[in-house]
Amino acid sequence: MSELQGLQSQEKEFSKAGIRILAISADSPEDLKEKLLPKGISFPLLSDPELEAIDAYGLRHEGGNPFGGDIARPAVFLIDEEGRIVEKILTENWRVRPTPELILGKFSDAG
Amino acid sequence: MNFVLRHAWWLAPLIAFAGFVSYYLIFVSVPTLRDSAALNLIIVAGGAILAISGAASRWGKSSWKVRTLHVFGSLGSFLFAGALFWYVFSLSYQMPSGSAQTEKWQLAPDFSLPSATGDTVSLSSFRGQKVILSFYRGFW
Repeated sequence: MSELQGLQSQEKEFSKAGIRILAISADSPEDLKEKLLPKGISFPLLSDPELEAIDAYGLRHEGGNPFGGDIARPAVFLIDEEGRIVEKILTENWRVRPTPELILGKFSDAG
Repeated sequence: MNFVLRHAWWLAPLIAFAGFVSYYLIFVSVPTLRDSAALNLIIVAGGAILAISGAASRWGKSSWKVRTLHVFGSLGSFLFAGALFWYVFSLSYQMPSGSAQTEKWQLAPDFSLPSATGDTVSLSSFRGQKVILSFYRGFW
């Protein structure tokens, strides 16, 4: 989840550019509330324990949860005003996450 | 230096252990150090090298007890070093490839999910705004 803190640190930049942030994980709403809200994340943290959205985007990582169960592989999608995917950023291993700078750059490339 | 080599049987595994756990406890929250893991790989490799150097330097001059300590120290160091190298270069790549379900320029699949603050948020309510959708592994 440390990528969320990265996004949070650039939140002003993003909102200046008219960009909203949504974060999705397989965590329960309770876990998000207890463990992530105290870290000062101001954008919506969405709970997808049934992996509906995660599957709709093709991101299920079976058995990926160190405590057991399926979770999402890290991924960032950039969506434009019409609801189209303008960029899909996947890293080749789960250690490496897209940085806010990379994301902002991709958005400006996409116009 | 002699002191360090003589105590390598416990120093080396301690260094390798510190290099291993500090990656997960501390350095994962520093993006550049998490992505490359270079700092921690250097620490655990240093531990492993120290273990071997220590054992080699004491081998001819010490009792079987001391040699045994060095052997176990080396095994411990290699265990932690090996675990981190394995995680960084193999385990963290063992992920399904993102499926082609969603491609560029396609309409983003809509969803409606509960948020941490108790409301329900749907992607379609953000029409007219640019959105970053960040999927992450979990709260840990």
